[in-house]
Amino acid sequence: MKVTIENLTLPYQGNIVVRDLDLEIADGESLVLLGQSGCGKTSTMRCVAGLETPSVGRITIGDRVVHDSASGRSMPPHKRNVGMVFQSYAVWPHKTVFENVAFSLRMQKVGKSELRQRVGEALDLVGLGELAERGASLLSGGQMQRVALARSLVMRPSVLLLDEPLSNLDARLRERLRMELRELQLRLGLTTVYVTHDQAEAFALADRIALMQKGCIVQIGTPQQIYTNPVCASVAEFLGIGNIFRCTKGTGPGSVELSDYPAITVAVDNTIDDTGPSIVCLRPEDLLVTGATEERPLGQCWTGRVEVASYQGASIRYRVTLDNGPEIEAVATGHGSPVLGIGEQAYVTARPGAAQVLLDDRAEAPASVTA
Amino acid sequence: MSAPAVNPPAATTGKPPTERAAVAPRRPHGKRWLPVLLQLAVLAVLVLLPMFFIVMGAFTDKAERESLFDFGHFTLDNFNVIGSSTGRNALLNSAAVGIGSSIVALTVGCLLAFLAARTDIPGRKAIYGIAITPLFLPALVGALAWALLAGPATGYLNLALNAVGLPHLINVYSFSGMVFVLGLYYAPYPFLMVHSALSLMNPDLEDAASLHGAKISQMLRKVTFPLVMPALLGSAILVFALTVENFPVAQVIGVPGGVDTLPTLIYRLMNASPARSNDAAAVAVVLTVLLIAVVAGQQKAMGGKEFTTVSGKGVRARRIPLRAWRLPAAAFAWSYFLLAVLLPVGALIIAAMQTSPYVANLGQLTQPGALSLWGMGQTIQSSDFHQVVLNSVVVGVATAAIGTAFCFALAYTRYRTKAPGRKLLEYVAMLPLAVPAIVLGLGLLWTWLALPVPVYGTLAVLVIAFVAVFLPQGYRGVSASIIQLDKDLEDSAVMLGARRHRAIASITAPLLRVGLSSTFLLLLMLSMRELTAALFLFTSDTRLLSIAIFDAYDNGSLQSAAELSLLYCAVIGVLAVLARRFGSKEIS
Repeated sequence: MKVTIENLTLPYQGNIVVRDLDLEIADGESLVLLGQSGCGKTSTMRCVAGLETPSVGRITIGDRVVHDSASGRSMPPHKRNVGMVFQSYAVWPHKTVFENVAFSLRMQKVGKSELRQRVGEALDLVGLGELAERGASLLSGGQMQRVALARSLVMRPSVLLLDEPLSNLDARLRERLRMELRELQLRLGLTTVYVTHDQAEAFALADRIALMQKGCIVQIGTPQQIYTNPVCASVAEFLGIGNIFRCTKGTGPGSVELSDYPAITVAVDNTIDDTGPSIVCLRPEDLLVTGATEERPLGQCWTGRVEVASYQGASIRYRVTLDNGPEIEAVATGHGSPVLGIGEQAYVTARPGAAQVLLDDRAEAPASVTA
Repeated sequence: MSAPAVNPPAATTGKPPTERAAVAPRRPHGKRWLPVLLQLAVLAVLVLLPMFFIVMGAFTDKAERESLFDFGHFTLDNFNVIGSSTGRNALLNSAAVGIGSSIVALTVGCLLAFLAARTDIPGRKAIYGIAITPLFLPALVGALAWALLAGPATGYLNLALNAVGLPHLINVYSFSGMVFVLGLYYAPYPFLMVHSALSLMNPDLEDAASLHGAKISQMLRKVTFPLVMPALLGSAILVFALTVENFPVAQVIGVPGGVDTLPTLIYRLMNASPARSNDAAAVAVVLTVLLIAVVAGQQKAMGGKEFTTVSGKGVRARRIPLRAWRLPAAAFAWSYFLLAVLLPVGALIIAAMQTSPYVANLGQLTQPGALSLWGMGQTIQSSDFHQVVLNSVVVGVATAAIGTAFCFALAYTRYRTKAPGRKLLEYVAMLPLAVPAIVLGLGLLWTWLALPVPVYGTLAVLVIAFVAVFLPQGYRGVSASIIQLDKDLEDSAVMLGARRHRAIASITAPLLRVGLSSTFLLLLMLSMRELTAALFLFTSDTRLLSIAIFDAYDNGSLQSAAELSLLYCAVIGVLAVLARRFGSKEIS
């Protein structure tokens, strides 16, 4: 069901955790709330669940207003029909798998045969049909995660909330479950809100990503939009774009000059308003390293010397110090090209359109480190 | 104030309801306050009201009140009793006894803890048992037994010395006797705290010291001891507080030797005729202030440090080879057991079986017919004894059940809700830690004499007193396990459609059963052992086992006191075994 959040504000112990947040989630959409810990993403989700009471704002699920601060009405969480998978799974260790999953149906006083059938279906859906009678304390992390999911699905929730459900699993399992989750969500046409701090997870699962910072949504869009067009320096930094340099407007049109290394200019396509400081960012995967003897691809090119080379199979990752310039992260495609040695001369070529000028909003956050 | 607003029709049908009707009923603001207010009211009656009556008694001049708030005029004269030589002596004795017995208890307890946790002492596992067994001998019983053993005239030890031609050398009825007995029976407290700190310590910390070149002695000095310091300091202050407010040992050992302490002074003032209750209240205020200062010191010393030292979880701790000290160390541990358990129990058994009330020399005991189980049998069969045991069990079980339930409510409100005033709740619940049992008992006496509820003279008033006295222990037990339980477990039940109280009943309470049942058993044990809090509250129909022992002693019937003490220990021992079995089953 469609979920609408209107100017939501949540104070907690004197701080504003969520500030005047608006968000609309379409029916059947998978929305990911992405951000660092403490940015308010989990709090926003818990407001939808009814586990936190916002001081201002209105939340609508389908056509039911579940919270409205203006009238002081709030529907208690057990009536909202919202499913939630907790980060800790919250699978009850004193019950069997079956009883865990059957809980919501027992609360609804569903008849015996229907209960058996629906629990069985939910367990089959997550691939745990065999383990129904096992005690929940004997399950592995991945199995618990599946139980938690089945437990939420069996109630046929209006919206499913997932709070970093994969963060306690090891890397390989995480990847597999990520795919399964996405497939399930698409198949069931479930409206889901997914909270995570892992951008790869967000990209894999989202129809749309809402990027949060300090209790506000700073950017919202499809994974592609977010990946290709971060709105500001802090978002670029959060997305792990390795090369971020402060810049001033260069001499010619369509290029900027690095503030700390005036010898280096970077060709850019976009422009921003002159107000405030700006940065230029370059993804390492858009910067190709070639040796002196190799053929250079098309694009703007700088020379430099190799600091570190790290062989990664499909590619080689380099850190190169540009002549009269900064250290820069770049890659070389693995096949064919030899690994350059430390101190060797290298050419770094930017793919056309790779560089972006963005507003530098990081001044308020002194904790961030320039790459 | 808390009446719910008009309920719109519930929107649980499948049909999409209209927006207005679908909005849940307005949550009344008073509802958030209601549980806190209710619990605060209970706490007020349990803790604050008694304190109020004590303070009012201390600062006013009217002893016989006609109505609830008829206190008479304000005065400071009551505090003259502290200025008198008796009062001054009592105050100084209290402080000196507290310090002296803390030193004894700490030395013995820490040494035993170190030996049991960290050395290759022969029979290491048994040392743990040795060190905690005295917990099952209430201080009252220990004091009685030592009076039998080392009384100056007919103490068995003195008789033994006599038999080998030495004069009566030992007199337990003295300041040092008191320090000795208190130190002996409070040593298990520092033992338990330091033992757990030593055995939970992450061994990597010590290994790191060794790898960086420290000898074993340097490692102990520079790493191990600093890390257990918070536990040591905490237990030192705990033992000081417990010994300062201890009444039974002071009364049984101190008073016959002319060593008065503040608790015995309160007792004497209240038993004077007419009772000098205003003076007693003034002494109570002084004693409480002394204790509050000490407990505040403890809080400050322990603040935030408690958990940082303990990082490993049951990791195998390092053992230090004792070499030549193995046998002396074992001898030390076993002599503690001899002094704290074997000799006292032996003395009680002999005293209980003695057929003549006075024994002038040990040879007399070897005569045929000098010892018999007849008296014990009589006691066990007497209806008076049955009544007393029944009272003790009823009060113990009721205290444990009500106390656990109430502490659960308190801890839940404190740690699982955002109700305003929840921290105040915790503060008041922990207050009895700083209020001596004898003072709280006195305050409760005046409270329930004043309140128009016919509770005084029933077992209920004893249950109330015990719940109040053991609130901190119960609250700590329950809240420790509530904190450890993931809050999501209950929230997820609510998300799946359970009402909050349903979620508590079907998820939180069952998951806390280990914590709740161990708190129940702790409160049961504590109330079975307690004498002091009941001292002013019992009547002839509501005597408990501890009271019966004290009465027998007070009436000079050491033999029947010894009989009862043995039976008392047996009852407590049975409970302890049950607790252990029950507890270990739950954990596995």
